[in-house]
Amino acid sequence: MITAGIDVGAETTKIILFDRERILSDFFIKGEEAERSVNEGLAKVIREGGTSNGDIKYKVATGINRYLLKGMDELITDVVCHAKGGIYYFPKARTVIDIGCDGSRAVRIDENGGIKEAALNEKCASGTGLFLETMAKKMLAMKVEDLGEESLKSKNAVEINNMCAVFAESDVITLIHKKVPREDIVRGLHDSVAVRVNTMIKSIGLEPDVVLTGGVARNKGVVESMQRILGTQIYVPERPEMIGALGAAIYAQEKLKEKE
Amino acid sequence: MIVAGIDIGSLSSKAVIMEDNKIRSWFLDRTGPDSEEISRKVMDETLQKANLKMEDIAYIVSTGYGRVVVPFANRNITEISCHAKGANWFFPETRTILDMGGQDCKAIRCDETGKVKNFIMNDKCAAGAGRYVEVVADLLEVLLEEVGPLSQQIKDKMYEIASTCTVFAKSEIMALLKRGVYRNDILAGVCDALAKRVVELLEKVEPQKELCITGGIAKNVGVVQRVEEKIGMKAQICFEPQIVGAVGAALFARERAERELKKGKS
Repeated sequence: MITAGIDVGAETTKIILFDRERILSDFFIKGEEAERSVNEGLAKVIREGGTSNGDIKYKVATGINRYLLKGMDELITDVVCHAKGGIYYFPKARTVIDIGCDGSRAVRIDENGGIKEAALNEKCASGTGLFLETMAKKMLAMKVEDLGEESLKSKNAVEINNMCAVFAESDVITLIHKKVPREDIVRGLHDSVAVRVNTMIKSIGLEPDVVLTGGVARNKGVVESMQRILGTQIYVPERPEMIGALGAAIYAQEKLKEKE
Repeated sequence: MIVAGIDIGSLSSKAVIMEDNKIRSWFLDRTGPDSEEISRKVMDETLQKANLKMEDIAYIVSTGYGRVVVPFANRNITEISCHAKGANWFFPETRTILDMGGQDCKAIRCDETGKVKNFIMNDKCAAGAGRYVEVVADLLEVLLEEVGPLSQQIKDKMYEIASTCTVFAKSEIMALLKRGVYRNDILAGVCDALAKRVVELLEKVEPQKELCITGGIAKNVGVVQRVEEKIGMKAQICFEPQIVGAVGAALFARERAERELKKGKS
């Protein structure tokens, strides 16, 4: 019983082909237009999964750009997907936090991945992947992939505005002006993301185990800041950026089972 | 009696010298990274313009974000009080003040003497302040002073910006430009968006006539006109809306100086 989970985010498209309990194949692309990336991706996962388009019984899409797609069986929210995807790898997960390019979301869940409470930050650039990416490229001449390692070298905390990305940028300019070491600035940025996420979570409460998903979870510096600032162990799946698509595919499976 | 008021804002600093009940001179400059340094500069420039020396000033009150770092101030008073006092001096019928600065917006209710009765501020989000317009002006390569007039020369129709956040609005606008949406139509949408947010803030203090608008954005006709439309009130704006806080500070300086004079005499 093959299903496809498609996550079209602000910058990246992720697809998971799923059968019963396991992942058959997957796809990831950055910077391509939504519909085109999904067509390309579906072709690839079908080919690699050794199956055909007709065998995909249910296609579920999520992500900020899901409304741009045609031919999906269902569209669902990111929080539902990250909850289901998070609990797939961590059965004891009771809080899942997704930090993506364009926003962040936190859900408290039950043992089946069902949603108890959710909080969103989808209107504000503060604490998002886009914010970190912009700071890395524009202010620090760094690659996003190198941010984590850089911040782990830091021994000094610096304060950077955690409520507004525009004000944070001014803070970074001042810090660079004062010749504050780069690793301290990067750590400060990661801390500001963690504080912003912590503020969001306060409205729903934190229940261990806590899982971090979304592309930003690859950043070891952000994970360290979050563990320190949230005061709890943070679990990160091996490919955190794929969790949304995985959750969508799992949701599709559950939907089909219901119909049977 | 000659007094002075200094307003050190996060983006711009202002100084005003008042003699009896008139403005004798004033000066305005970008604050920059050193608040103490700029406070000396604006004070010196204002003294020069008035042909006076520091010793001629009976009392100096500082206000604004950087008020505590003005070394030559006799006292510092909050900008809320100073804006209310200053607005009331320019327009005695003022009962509501909207201060639109670079990094924050304040809505103040005051009584007939300029005393503050209620106030609310947004200093958490750049999209609710002048910064929003500055970022877009920079992106569209127009001068800040041009934004207002251009926003009133709509080519097709006003384009409504969907993103609340300044950063996301930037991406949205870049995509719009690629699609060929006219620059003026985008500027109209930007001014409208800021006006909407500012009016939301204003409504929280239950605004009453007359309305006085201060701060740098008071010079943006595109935002001001839209605020007036949405709130249903005409706005009173003085000849230099950025110095209202400093004027209020100078007026407080006069009160203090007169009080001390009385104490001295008795």
